[in-house]
Amino acid sequence: MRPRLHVTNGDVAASTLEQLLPDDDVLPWRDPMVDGPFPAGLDLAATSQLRAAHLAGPNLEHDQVLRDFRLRDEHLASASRYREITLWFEHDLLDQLQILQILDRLAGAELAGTRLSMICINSYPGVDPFRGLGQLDPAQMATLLDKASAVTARQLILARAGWAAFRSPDPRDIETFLTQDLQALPYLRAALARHLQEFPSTSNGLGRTDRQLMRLVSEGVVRPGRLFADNTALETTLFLGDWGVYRHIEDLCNGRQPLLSAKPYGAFRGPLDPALSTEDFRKQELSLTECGRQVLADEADASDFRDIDCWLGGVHLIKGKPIWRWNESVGRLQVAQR
Amino acid sequence: MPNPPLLDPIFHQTVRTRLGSLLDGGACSFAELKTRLGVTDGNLDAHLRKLGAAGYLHSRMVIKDRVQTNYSLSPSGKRAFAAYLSNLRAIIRPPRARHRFADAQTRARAGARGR
Repeated sequence: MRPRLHVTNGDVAASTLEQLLPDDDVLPWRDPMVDGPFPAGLDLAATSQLRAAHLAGPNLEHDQVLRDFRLRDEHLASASRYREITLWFEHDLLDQLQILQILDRLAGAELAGTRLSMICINSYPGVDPFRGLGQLDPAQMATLLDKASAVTARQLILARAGWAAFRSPDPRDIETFLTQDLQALPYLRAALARHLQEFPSTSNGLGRTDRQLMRLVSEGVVRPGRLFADNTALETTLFLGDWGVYRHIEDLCNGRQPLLSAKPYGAFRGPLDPALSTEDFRKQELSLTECGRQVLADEADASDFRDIDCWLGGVHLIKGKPIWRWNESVGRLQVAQR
Repeated sequence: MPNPPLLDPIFHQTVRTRLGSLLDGGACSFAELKTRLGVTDGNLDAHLRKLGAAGYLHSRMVIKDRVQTNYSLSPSGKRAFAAYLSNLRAIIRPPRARHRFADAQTRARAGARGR
């Protein structure tokens, strides 16, 4: 009999599924998709190459990241050898983007003899706050098995359109996409709406995560671990993992005139810094610089002190290109002059 | 005499047979596999991709001093490797044993027809 495949969001949930279903194959869709480039017009292989270049760093070897992306992509390309593929995801932006990317890929595949199903939840009885499938043990995961429903044609159509909108260089395509009936993918609207809030604000040039982190620092939350926890508590659904938050802190400590400073090293040093013990990492203290204070008080714009160069999905925010800004008061994007 | 069984071409290659044997025994990192198999990065990469494209590979990211991925055979990879070894054994069995096996099969078939 042909085997079954389960695709899920990361290693923790994958490991639980392996314990629960030892005869089935499991594929973790390993990519922090909230962070970094997803330009339009690239196929999965080219996208993975770009992602590997973006994610690689001192503690994450480029060749290894690229190899794992290729193995992942080729595993999914063998989808037709499975009698059933089940997607296991939750409601947050990371998972919703993973669903879009995977369904976009599978929608174009020959899968006549493969049943495609999905389990996607935003809560679990007794798990509060529910952050994701990684919190569940094998017995709890087992109760979700009969919640798997066949992926519908409407879901495939929406996934393709949503994936194209997310990767578009014009983020108004996301706003247009959000005007559609999205009930077939019930958590997608809130997730993409949260994505738009990461665009620099019209009031001070900070995206929502940066603004939250700086406000917490100004309120006396200065240790990195606590900043991660308190920032997570400000989100309705999990938005960034710890590494993602530390990456934002690192960026805020960099630039022409940093908005945050870190004691005792000046620059913020990440948790995998080989020269830093876990204890020393935890002991770092963040504080607002004078520039940071002005920006947080809306007296200056973040672009006065740092040159923007970042990707939000398919949009490259960089000097010389239109800088899309999020206008919180009207809940819309607009192009700014700087 | 029965036809010899087909061998899975994914595992029927010297490096990949050894790779299958190592990964069947447990999870290994890329560096570990490279050392134990004595192959280059590019060579190992190509063979892992063959296994990956067949759905025979599981991977797990672990954090030691740095981030590392460990590879093992997936359940379908384990079944395929076990079948490969079994078929290989059937092929390399000594001729007399093979004939005894064939005779036994013939007798079994005749018995089934007689019933």
